[in-house]
Amino acid sequence: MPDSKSDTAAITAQALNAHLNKLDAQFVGRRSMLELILLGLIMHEHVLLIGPPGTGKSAAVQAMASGLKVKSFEYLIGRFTEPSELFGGLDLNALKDGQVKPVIDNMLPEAEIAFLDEIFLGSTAILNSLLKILNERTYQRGQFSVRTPLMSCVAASNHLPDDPLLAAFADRFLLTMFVDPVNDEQLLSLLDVGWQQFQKDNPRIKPLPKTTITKLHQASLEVDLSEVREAYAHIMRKLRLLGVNLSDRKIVKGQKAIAVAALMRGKLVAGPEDLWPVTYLVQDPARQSEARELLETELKNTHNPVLSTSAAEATYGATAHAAQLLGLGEALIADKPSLRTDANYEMWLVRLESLQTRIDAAFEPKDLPQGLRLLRTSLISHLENQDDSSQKETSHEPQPAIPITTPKPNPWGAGKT
Amino acid sequence: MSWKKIGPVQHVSALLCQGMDMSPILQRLQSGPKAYQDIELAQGGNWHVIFGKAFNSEEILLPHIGGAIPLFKAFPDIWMNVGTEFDLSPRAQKDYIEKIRLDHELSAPEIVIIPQFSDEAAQTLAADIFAIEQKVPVSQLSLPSLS
Repeated sequence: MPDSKSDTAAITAQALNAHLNKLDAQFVGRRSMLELILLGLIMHEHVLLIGPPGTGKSAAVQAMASGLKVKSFEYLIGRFTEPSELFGGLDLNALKDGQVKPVIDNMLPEAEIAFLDEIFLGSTAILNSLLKILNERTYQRGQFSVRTPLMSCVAASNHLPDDPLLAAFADRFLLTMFVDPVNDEQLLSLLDVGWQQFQKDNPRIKPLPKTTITKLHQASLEVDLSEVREAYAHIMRKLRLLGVNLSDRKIVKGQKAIAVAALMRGKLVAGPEDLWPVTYLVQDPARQSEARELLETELKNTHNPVLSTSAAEATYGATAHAAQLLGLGEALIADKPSLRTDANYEMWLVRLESLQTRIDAAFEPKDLPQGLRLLRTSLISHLENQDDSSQKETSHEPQPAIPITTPKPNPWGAGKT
Repeated sequence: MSWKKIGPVQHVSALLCQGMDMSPILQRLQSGPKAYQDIELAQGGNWHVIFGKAFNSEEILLPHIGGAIPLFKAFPDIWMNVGTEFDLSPRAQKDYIEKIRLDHELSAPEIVIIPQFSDEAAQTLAADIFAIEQKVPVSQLSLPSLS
């Protein structure tokens, strides 16, 4: 039954959202990177992170890998890295018998998630072997050939390569994110979280079973894309006008990202809300930025409660802002403490009110996107119910008509206006 | 032009209340949730600024006050109303802020800039400036100081 499948997807998406929240708490301003890595994992596609060192790329992949019961492999590639450091050295006993057979235990060919830092520094031999693993999930060395269980390879580099051959290799990574240092507003949080991590290790997060990812991957392949296929083709035509020529392979595989986006909304039929991953198919920072602007109309319905930050960052201006606020609001509503006596209930209400302030700052009532309009109504309803109930609860006590005016020293000093 | 209008998509982290009766607002904050008692206020002639309190990297706690002007932090010491930005290159922005401070003899640690746009203009050279001399937590304020 489609409905029960859809319900299952929604429940799994909720669990993944909770998991992402826990992982995100270890970082500042890296939610979108975690989301994109998760998207790549579910799609069984590869992700490229471009940005300066020290921006949490490696830590994000480590956190994601340790949050899943999967085999992982991580390596910092240098100019002098030997293929055996990634794929395993030769089995000397087999060699004595005239066979070329590498020992691949715990090496890249056995990994289900791999993180390769400074990937473009790899030698031709390394990149050739990698290419086969990335494309065909096969590791081959001479006569030796083995199927690899790789779900997703996340690679990182300071910048995109200029060399056309390396650029062709980079094209094998379906999704690309350009990672910047945290912005000024987040600096204090970064220092705070970083200091806390000096004092104590991050809390251990219960890893999700691998089957969660594999089941979602299977389910994503059953998502109905017929309603968005024309819109997707239109976007591709528009990108070509911009001079962004995505390979046919990338365009076809891009559909997998749309399908996963739909699934993360708990839907088995993709809609215009799910087209936003197209931005991450563009492998150039300036072009990615232009694509956001160019596709403002096509991506105006963007919405994803789980991949909320990456969806918001994939779109432009008000659309992105609406998507972000909607994602935040839906997560907040879902996080409602079950009891009003709960210690977190008061803070939850404050967060609702703060979100209403943000929504009203950004949108005139007449311009509110539909999803945000419903969210705002829900926020107000929760806040008003609280006011009603607190009045009922305290109605037997007279409320002070005049604010408390206990004399206190004027903190601004006399005469200051 | 020094400032221009943009989409109001910045993260609201403070509110400017101009010509508003602050007593009921402060009463609500002081008698309300504990989180509101920690937030800070600054005041001038007929204006007050309520500064939000960071809850996490994505959320800043702020009350909802009808008629207040939402502000965002444009620089570590500069607040502007959401939907506006400097119409200058990033390097020129810092020089321009220094010039504003010198021209108006502003020694306040932080200032709020509210660009004033005429009619449908999208750019402007005019702005109101509010100097933030001191911030005080709501819990430490008494109402008479806000009259």
